Parts: sequence; structure tokens; C-alpha cells
Amino acid sequence: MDLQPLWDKIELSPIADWVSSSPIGFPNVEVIHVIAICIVFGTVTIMDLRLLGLASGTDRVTSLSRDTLTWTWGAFLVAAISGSLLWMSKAHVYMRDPWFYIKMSLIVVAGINMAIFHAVTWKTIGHWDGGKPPRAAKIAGLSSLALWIVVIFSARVIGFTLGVYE
Amino acid sequence: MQFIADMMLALSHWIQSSTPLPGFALWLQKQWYSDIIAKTHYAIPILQTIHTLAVAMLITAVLMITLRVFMVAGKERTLAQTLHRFLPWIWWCLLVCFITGWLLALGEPPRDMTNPAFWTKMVFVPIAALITLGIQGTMTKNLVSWEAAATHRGVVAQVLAVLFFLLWLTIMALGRWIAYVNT
Repeated sequence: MDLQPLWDKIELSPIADWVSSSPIGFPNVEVIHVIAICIVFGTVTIMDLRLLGLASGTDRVTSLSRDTLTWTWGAFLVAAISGSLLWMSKAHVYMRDPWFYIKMSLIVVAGINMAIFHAVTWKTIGHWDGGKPPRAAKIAGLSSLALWIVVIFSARVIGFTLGVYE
Repeated sequence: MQFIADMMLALSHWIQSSTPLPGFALWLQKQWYSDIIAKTHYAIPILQTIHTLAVAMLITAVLMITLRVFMVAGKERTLAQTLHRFLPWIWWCLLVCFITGWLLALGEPPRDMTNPAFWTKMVFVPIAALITLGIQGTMTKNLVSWEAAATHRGVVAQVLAVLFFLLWLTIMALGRWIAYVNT
């Protein structure tokens, strides 16, 4: 199915047009996107390092979660909105870049990893809140850390490959 | 915004016409170590990724300290415990950013060495580092009054924390703008 007309329509929308044609549009939206992603990664890492038993060992996991989770989700929302604006400005180019699909797939996998952790391992939090996390929590922390590092690497590679696959 | 654009343009003209930086950048580009970074497959994206990860941890550490000053996060920790937890992150991440940042500049000398956004960032980073050192010193010396200021949401402590956070955000913005400022 040829989706090119759809990408063209998205790229010609007023907001996408502003992002791509204004000299400050794309760079400033990207600045917001990078700051948001950095806060997502940073807050997620604080939790992951606690789950791995590498940092914040004296803090209760529930307390750290309260401190970071709101910021993780808030920053993720900003990253998603700003990322969508960047994508809209060059939709057809992004849709031909395999690194874009790698990045998006890994974000989904990171989300599934987080959902499983909260649905399964988090139920036993009462037993290990102030102490050593169980193996399942460590695996979730390590997976999350690895996935987000590769997400950021993919995002950087997109900067070099955008337009190469056209 | 126009003022910033005019300032960058003036700075760019000055770098090009009144400094040895353009010639130095071209000389640097011909050196073997610059060549290795530029021609090694994925070296630049990998260095940029490490740089970004370090920036992410640094800005989050600054955010967590700021939130503790506002008593929004880390309420179960004292300010001293929060600083003990996050200040080392700022210094270690700064070191990683310094190493990876200069390796990136060595790999792409004309992109960075003649770039007004790059040099503005290079002015702001030591200022931010000095302020971090200052905050670390004053908080360590006057921990009781800072603790009280944070607990009672003292205006001075809050304004300083916000300015400190904004300074690091500005440095991040300048870092991204390096890719877009025409050199």
C-alpha cells in the first residue's frame, strides 16, 4: 500500500510546515525533545540502579518511585508530543529510515517491560521495599537500562541516516 | 529570539575574521587522531550517545536537587542526603561530557571550533561548574540554614535552584544548536 499521499498530507499540515520551514522550528522542537528524553532516561535510571542494587540502597523503592515516576511520565509526554512534531515535518523520510523503526520498537518493548514489572513484580514490593530487590526486579531494571540506552543510540543514528534511505 | 540570532551571527563573523580558529580547525582536521575519530564507523554516534547519557544523568541530578529544595521530591531525605546522593553524579557526568565532548570536537573540528554556539556553551559550562562548586561549598558550610530554607520553601533557595536548573537547560539547548548554527 502506497502511503506517500498520507505522509505528504501530514507534512503539508500548517504545524508540520512551521516546524520544517521556520529556521528556528525544527532545532527548538528538537531541543525540547532532547531535554525531555534526557529527563525520561535520567529518572528511569535512578529507579533501575536501585532495582539493580547499585545506588540509592538506603531509599525505599516506593519512595524513589514516587519521586521519579511523575517526572518520567511528564517528560515522556513532552517527548512524545515534540517527537511527533519532528516526525510530522519529515514524515516520509522517517518512515523510510530503519533506525526510526528500531527506536520506536524498543520504546514499545521498554513500555512492556515496565508494565510487566508493575503488574507482576511490584505486587511483592512489601517484602523488599527497603531491602534487596528480587531477581525479577533486577532483570526488569537491567532490561530497562539497556533498552533506553539503545533507544538513545538509535535516536542519534537517525540524525546521520535521515534521508540516506530515500 | 532575534537578539540571540544576531548575537550568534556577530560572534560567528568575529570567529571567522579575527581569530585563528578557522585555520586551527583545518589544521586539526588533518591530524591522524582527528582522522581516526572521523573515519571510524559509528564513532561519532557512539560518542554522542555517551555524551547524551551523561547529560541526561547530570540534568536529572540537578532536577532532583531542585525538587528537594522545593520539597516536591526526596521529602524522606534531608537536603544533605540528597546532595550526597546527586552531587557526585554531576561531577562524574561533567567529566564524561568533557572527555566525549572534546573527542567529538577533535573528530569534527570545523563543525565545532568555528561554531558560535559551541564557544558560548564552552563559556557557560565552566560558569555552571563554578556555581555547582559554590552551591556545594555554601550548602556544606550552612547546611542547617539551607535545610531550613528548603523545608520552609525559602524564596532565595528556590530562585537559586531554578536559575541553576535553567542554566543547565541553556547549556543543553546550545549543545543541540551546534548542529544548526551555520559556520
